[in-house]
Amino acid sequence: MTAQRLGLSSSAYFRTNTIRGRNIALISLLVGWSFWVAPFGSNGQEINFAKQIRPLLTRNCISCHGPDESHREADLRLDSFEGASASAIVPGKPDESEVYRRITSDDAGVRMPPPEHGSALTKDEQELIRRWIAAGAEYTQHWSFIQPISATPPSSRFDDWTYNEIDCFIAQKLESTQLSPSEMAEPHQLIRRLALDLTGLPPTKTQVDRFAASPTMQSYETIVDELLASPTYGEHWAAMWLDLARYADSYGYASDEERTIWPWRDWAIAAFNQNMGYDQFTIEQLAGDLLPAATPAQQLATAFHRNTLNNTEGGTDDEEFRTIAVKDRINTTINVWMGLTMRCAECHTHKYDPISQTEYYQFLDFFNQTADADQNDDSPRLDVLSDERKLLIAKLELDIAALKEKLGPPRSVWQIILPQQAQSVENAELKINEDQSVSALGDVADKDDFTLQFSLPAGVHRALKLEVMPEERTGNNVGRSDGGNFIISQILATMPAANAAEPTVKHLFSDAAADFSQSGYDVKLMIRDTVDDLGWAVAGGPGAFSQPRFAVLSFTEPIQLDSPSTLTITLIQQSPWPKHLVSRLRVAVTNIEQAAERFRSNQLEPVDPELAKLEAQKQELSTPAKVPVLQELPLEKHRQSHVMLRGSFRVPGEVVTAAVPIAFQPLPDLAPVNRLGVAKWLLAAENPLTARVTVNRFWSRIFGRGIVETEEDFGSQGSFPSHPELLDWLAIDFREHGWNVKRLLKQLVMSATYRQTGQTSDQRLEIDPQNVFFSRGPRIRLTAEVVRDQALAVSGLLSPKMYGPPVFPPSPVKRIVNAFSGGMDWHVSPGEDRYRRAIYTFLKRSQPHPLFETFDMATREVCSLRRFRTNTPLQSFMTLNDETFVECAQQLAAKMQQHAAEVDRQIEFGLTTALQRPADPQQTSTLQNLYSQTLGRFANDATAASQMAGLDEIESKANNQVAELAALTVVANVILNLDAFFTK
Amino acid sequence: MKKSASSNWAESRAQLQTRRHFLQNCQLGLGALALSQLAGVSPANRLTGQHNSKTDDNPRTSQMPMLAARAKRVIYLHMEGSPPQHELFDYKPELARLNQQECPAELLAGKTFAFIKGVPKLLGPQVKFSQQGKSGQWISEMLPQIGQHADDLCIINSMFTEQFNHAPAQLLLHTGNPQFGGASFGSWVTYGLGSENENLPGYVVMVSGGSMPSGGKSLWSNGFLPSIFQGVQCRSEGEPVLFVANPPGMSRDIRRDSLDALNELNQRELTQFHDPETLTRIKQYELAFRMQVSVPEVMDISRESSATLAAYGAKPGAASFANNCLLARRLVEQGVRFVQLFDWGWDIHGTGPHDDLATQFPLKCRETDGPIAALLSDLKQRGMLDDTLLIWGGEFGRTPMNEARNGSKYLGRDHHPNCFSMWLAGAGTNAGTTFGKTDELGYQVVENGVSVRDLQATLMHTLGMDAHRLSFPFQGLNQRWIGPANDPKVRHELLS
Repeated sequence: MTAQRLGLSSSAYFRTNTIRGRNIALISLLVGWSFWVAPFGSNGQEINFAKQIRPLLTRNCISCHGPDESHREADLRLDSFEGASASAIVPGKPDESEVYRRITSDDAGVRMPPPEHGSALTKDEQELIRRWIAAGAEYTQHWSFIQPISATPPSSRFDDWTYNEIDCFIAQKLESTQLSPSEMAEPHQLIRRLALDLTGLPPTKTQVDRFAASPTMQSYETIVDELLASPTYGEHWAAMWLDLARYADSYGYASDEERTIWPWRDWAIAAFNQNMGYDQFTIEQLAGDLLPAATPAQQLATAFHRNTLNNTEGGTDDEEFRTIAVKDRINTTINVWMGLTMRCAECHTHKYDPISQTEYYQFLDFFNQTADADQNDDSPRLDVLSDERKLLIAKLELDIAALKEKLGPPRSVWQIILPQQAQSVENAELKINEDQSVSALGDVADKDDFTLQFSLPAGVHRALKLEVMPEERTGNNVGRSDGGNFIISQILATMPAANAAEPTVKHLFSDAAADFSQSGYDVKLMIRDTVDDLGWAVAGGPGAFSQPRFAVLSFTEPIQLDSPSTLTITLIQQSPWPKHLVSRLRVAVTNIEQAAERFRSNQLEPVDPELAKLEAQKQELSTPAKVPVLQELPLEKHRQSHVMLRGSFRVPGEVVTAAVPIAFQPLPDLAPVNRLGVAKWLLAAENPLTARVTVNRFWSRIFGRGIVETEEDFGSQGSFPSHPELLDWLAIDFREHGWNVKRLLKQLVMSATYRQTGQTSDQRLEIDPQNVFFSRGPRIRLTAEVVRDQALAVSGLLSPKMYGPPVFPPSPVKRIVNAFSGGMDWHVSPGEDRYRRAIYTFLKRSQPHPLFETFDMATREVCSLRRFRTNTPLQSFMTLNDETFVECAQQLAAKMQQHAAEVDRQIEFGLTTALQRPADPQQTSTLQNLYSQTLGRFANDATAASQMAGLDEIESKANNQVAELAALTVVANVILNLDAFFTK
Repeated sequence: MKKSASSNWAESRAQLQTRRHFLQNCQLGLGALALSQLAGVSPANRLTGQHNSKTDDNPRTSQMPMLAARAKRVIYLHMEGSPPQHELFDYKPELARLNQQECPAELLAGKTFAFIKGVPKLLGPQVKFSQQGKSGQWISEMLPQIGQHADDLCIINSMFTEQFNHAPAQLLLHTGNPQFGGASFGSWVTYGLGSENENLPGYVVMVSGGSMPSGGKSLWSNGFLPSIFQGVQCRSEGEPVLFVANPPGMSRDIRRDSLDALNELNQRELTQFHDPETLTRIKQYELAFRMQVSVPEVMDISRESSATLAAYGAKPGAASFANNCLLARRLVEQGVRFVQLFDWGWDIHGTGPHDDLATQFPLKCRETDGPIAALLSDLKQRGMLDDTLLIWGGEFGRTPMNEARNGSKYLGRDHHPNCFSMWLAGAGTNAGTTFGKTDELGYQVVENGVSVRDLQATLMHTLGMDAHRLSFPFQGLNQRWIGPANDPKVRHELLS
């Protein structure tokens, strides 16, 4: 029976059959997938081109005799019937065919492939070629380039087992093996798997209890719906999307400075949670800015393609790196949506898939028309202030107004002094404003010194405040450099001597403080007596360059005046960085002693602490995030696109205009010829790949292995689908139901296939080691994010806070030094931000948090469609010894201790909490032995015990209690390292 | 007469079949792959680029190379920023004569430089050269101790590259692709050959003083290869490998007890689910336990004699290039396949004393000359230079012109992809020779140019691997270190 079915000979389909009333569409199956079901060519049987011949040609012939004209040898192409039959193959006559003669020749000079390209074909392979030619040398198109064909779910002897359509296809294939479906997973394990798969977090205790009490399909479905509706669902699936989007919180390359693009990450989380259709999700990310009346959220969505790297290293050619970013966008687009690799065609026509070099650059032209150009400030950027924030700000403003009313008018320690005159060495136009500030308008020089005279009232003056303010008339930044920064090399203060004949008196400063200084450009640098490349600058501060900054400068000796006088302030601005000059400034004085020191310790201004807190909150909330986005150039500024010879932007070839590769359907009617048109083209019903690639991706995340295993390659070099009819059925169903992702996921997890146990046997492993036939449930190690989030969740540490700027959980790498940008310190976030989900962890491209690289996340420099799962001792080190994982063990131990007085019940509770299933008595007893052994060791070492238990002081607890908690922490550390804990 | 590749290969395979040999070689650096992941890329197929045949070979099995290998291990000394070849190995008396004269216009036509603007002045070598060793190689007097090893060095003065910004040039050199995403040299080597010590990583990276090179961690990335092939960064100060130390309060005894309990529980899981990954995980925890001893042990240079420490100029506990050179020797001695060192601060532009030829450059020479010489002597003394491949160099060259950025008074040279110097030593490289020539100004290669990809093909060849065939299927291509084109050549002139 099985032998007969092994090849699923065509006759298998001719049974008149119904499954739950659906008829099998015989014809379409035969047309669509007939080449799949042909038998593996044992003698006398039909040859399967797709499965048997194309791989041989691809591996041995096509790189020299394929679509790539520039590398085509002997003007022969063997990738099409026309090419091959023109000279090298005589259909029906292998012995007259040059191809057959060459592959079978004994003469090394004649034999193909040439020895330097590969070894000779085996006898069996030669025989396959011979029979294929003899049968007419028929070529069929690569399977994934043909549109999916709808099939009715088939019937099989496992019909009783099936739950939905997915199962019909799986069952039918199982008939061809010696395998049968596995039993349903044990309810606790099933519900744990389900929650981890849909939300990346373990289920709640109530969910587990509910399902364990009543493991019916109805209660299962209710929990599925609950999980899909949970906001944690969006966080989990957005994490998956970030790999594809090559998301990171830094620019990449040598300097790798921080980039503000997390609002896009939040957009993605929200999009998943709102269950935005995958079609809309696609359109907004690729071309949200081109939609009519694009909303801010739609513009923000385009930051997807601003996750490309930006090179700010000195001496780089911006056009070179702009070009690289644009190429990355098309490679990513085609790879993510169509599962094909375009990158090869950058330098030469694709060797295997039908994309020529010219077509590559035609496609590039669509993406070549955005305004971004590898600028150091990442422009163009969009100001993003979420609606939630706007509401919060409005509320704060009311609170602040009420408090001010109560407090009465403020008293400042500062007295603003009036400018009399202002001069610039380079003739900048220095204008005195009504608010007593001075603005630098007009032309801006690379370097300039400003000299300002102020009338200084009588009295004692001990310190000076220099406010640098944004100037609306020149770009609304504090500085006038292209980015908005300034560098004050030195500040000088002079006064006329008491006797007018004597030279002016220089007043030195003893100390300086500022509300913000750029790393390496501390405010104190401007009170030195030398002028060099350094000074006070303010890049990287909160609110960037649009926020006012100020410096507090203490005089070495107080200025004591009996009558008003004139104070001259000179700003020396001689750094080598061009145009780093202040935009607008104001000066005030005070008689408070040690003003700079007091400012540093927050003791200078007598501000009501409550008011200060509210103001600070408002300030933080009102600063919009500036997010890089795509912005289409106006038509008259469109760039001309060229073929780039050998892929080099310096060697332009022929001019090209936007077009899609001819191997695929044309742009849809009425679609605009721009990125929006491309998005619609990807989503068109005629596109053979997008829906297949998408359902395969979700399938793979749930089942651990794609129907097409090479998720990243649906081209001729990729693997074949294990269940082609199922893939097509899912693809069409997904597209026809509004690209509804939650619906798709629900179908997957409701299937009987998904609900099978992950338990297996040696026999099953022998027949199907990789579970290609899905005859058992997925049992797979969790991803990096889930490994950490789950440990935090079961120990009770996980913060549910969603959205917002990235956070810094503990990391052993305390300082990251990059080649050209100083470096950054990893300051651990305070409060609950220490325990947020991994998706919110700051991701620096050059040095991601060790969690990610230890657990297989690819570097976020280019899009990555699949993570290879590995199993390494470095992973063991992390989950055994890392600060966060140890903290989780300590917390879990504390919970265990609180739960019960008896050790066995404490341990049972720990196991149940971590694994969501009743503890097995053997497990408990093993851990109880560990507990006793360890307790003995800790009883004699109070210091070690309190360290292990994570207690700062021993005083609070008796020694034996500390030792008990320490021993429980060791037990919890083991529980959090169980194979069952890392595996879904 | 060399044996043909195929007969060597057959021999190697035959050898591999003996059980004893199998046991000796059945590990691959660190860790294992989920079984399903490398299907179709059996170890035997890694080296030949045949990926379509399914086999049941264990993906962790170590490999014998397919060609006769002279090098069994690699120590790569990368001078990040790119040292000035005119002051080190490419002796140009004519350039000295033309010092401070305007650069001839024909050299500038159609050229762009990273920083040089207008017509720059030529800059003669700022140091003296002399002929060293029996071979009489011209070597800068800034490298007196390396000079004493002149007869061990195969100097290449005709290297050239296509990239003149740091990150892309470093990526090209190490990952075979100026853009991100490729697999690094060490990853390819451990992918192809595995590791010989199962208690240590097969591929170790160390960075002097902790400043990341421009290309960042991508320079030791596994790229599209599975992540067990990525370089493991070890540190000479602090924890040598991240998380290797038990948490505070946990003794080694308690760790042993807890791993015993963990193993027992995981064993039960294995009995229930039969998942081969569970078995692998049990083994990885045991390996981690052994590494907790083996890694700190190998990284502890205080175990070396004071004479050795002095020879290298190494100081226990510091983070220095000298320490890293000594560690490199300790690591390869323990069977680590690939040690990658990055030293920082060689970007000699001349914008200030921190990057000029008068102050910074001599400092860098002093910091590296002794340690490298000590490493060469040490390897030689232990008989390991015969099968250890050493590579020294930057990512591109520097101009024969003075950069004088913004009118800087400090002397320095701009980035220059047209020519630069590297040297190889050990493992059958052509010791005591200088290969390739540049013009009188040291501006352009005029004889025997060696492209980065040629160098890569040659280095792979010394390790017994055919760079044209060593490949991994990813995104529709059999990805190779040397890129998709077949032009790169093994330069046999560099080999003895």
